[in-house]
Amino acid sequence: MGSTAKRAPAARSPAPLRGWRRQLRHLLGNRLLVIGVVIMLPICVMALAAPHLTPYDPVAIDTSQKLLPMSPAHPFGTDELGRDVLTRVIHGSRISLRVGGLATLFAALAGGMLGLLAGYYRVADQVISRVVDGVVMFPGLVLGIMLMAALGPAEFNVVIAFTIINAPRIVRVVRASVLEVKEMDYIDAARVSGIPNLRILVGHILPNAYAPAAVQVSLGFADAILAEAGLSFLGIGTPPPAPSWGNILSDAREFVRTAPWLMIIPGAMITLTVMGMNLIGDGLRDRFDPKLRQARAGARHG
Amino acid sequence: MADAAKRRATGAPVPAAADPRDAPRDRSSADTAPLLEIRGLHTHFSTERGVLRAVDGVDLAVQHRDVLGVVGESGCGKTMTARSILRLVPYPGTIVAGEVLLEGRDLLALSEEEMRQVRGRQITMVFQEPMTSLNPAYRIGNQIGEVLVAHRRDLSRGERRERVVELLRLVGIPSPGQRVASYPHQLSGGMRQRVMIAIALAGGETRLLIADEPTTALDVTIQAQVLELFQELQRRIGMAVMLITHDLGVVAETAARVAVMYAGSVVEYARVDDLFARPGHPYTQGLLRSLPQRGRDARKSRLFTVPGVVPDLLDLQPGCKFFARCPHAAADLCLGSEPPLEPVRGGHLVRCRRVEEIAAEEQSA
Repeated sequence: MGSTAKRAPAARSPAPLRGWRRQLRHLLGNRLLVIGVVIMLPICVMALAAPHLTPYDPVAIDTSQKLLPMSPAHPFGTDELGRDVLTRVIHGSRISLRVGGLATLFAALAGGMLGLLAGYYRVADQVISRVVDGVVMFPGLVLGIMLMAALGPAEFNVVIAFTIINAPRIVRVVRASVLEVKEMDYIDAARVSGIPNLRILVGHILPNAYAPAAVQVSLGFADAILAEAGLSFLGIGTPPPAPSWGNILSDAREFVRTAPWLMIIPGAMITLTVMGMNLIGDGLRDRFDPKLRQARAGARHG
Repeated sequence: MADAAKRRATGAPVPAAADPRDAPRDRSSADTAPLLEIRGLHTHFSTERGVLRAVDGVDLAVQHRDVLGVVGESGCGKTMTARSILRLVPYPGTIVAGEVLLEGRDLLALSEEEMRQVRGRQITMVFQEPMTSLNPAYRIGNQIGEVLVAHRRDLSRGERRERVVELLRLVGIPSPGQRVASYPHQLSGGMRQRVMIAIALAGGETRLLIADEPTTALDVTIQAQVLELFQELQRRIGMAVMLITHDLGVVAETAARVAVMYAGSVVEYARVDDLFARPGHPYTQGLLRSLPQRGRDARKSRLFTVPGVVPDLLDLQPGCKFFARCPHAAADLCLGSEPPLEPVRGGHLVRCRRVEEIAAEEQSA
């Protein structure tokens, strides 16, 4: 415990920034974050380079080649329409990451902005928080199904639906940390100095309040990927024949006994991606939550 | 004061005499128009148990280039009065009545944007806790520069940088050129308080600096240095200082005038020497008697304390608020309505109906 006591003050005050080298070493010491990035990096590269990785077209139908088993020409075989499964999975990563990424980006922007307003202005809080409570009332997937039914199946509608599902969580987290930071003396001091409200919000509150939201954003990214696959599997997400992981799974359903590879590969990809993003989220939480960090330091040294 | 009232009534522009540079140097002349005048200020907090009258009818004046000490125990409304001047009362408090006149202009009637321009430019404030009053995420140079961005649009980036260094030099920070790049956690408490003062003065037209217990969180030697700095800056810039404190020693050393506050209102207002020589209000008398005195053996005689506790601000009885604790209380005179703040001699104001009798009693005792 002695070493914990010594560590504590250093953990509380922000570490003096002595160049990127120090920052990098600090980040590399965070095992969860590093593993998460190691998983996600190849997936991202795969998504970016998709058309160059395989010779096949992900949507071209060739019934003469249908349901082929694994072979050098088709490492993961082909589906019932003769499409190369590996190609579809690789292209599917583009859809999953694009939908998840855009939905998360929009949710972070909208949620962050509304959270700032709700935390800072009392009147805005009344309105925003009530709406958020209303949205949170529905289970995520049920709300997703409702929204998709209303909007119609299209890739961008999936993005809109997940933005609406994810934003409230970010609003709540941002609002909570704004409420906390708002009470700090330095916010008072800034107001006394006649700093405009917008500048206080963006310049003083946001930098001291975004950390918990960053964790939520990375976890929300994983959720969005999972939910996109879920909706597509149910046939109300990204419309076929686009090779979304959910669609591939859905198509493979009928052939679980005869061609199990159709299901295993996209399933494994979903698992891997979601795990990678969750690890990044957990890693960020370790990095940003000083209480947790001290507890861990105590456990390690005590 | 009559002058100010007339000006407000006629809506005439502020006469040239109100300019601090032309104001008479003589601090004792109370009849010139004050820099800041607070009249009948009421700031209430609506709580679950009812309305809490944190500021309950404060009348105060701060003269040009003057140092006004505001003393009183915790919770007597000193800080809320200061925050009401700046219109930064924390939720759920609201200013329900009164006037706050800065050179004749009612601050309570300004728009939010007009008020923002007064904050940090004409009226600024320094807080008690220098350790937490600076944003840990920014270099101190940027935090001072930010005030310049808010109030001095005319400055270029380079001029701003120069001005920041100049301000740091003004408040006595060694090697200011390098210090601009420091983060708050790299500075000591005294240094941080100096930075806070630099931020307060950055607006450039400071007329009134409100210092809310500026030395309470500092150790004694640093306290003396910071107080000295306040006095030096007050003379150099020609601003007025409103020094909020519970330390009568600090007041005696620094202030020219004192306002004593009790339970949300001013009970006595006088020049410092006058207050210490002839305290009029029984509460002030109690405060002064509770100070340790040289030559008195602390082991033999215990320090005097004012008996009783501060009244519940949620449940005030009509009449003098000090009634329950007052050694001179007389039910027929003191209850019913609150005594007015009235002059006893010159600029010495006391909120007590028995002030003459008490003075006579003290004399004979």
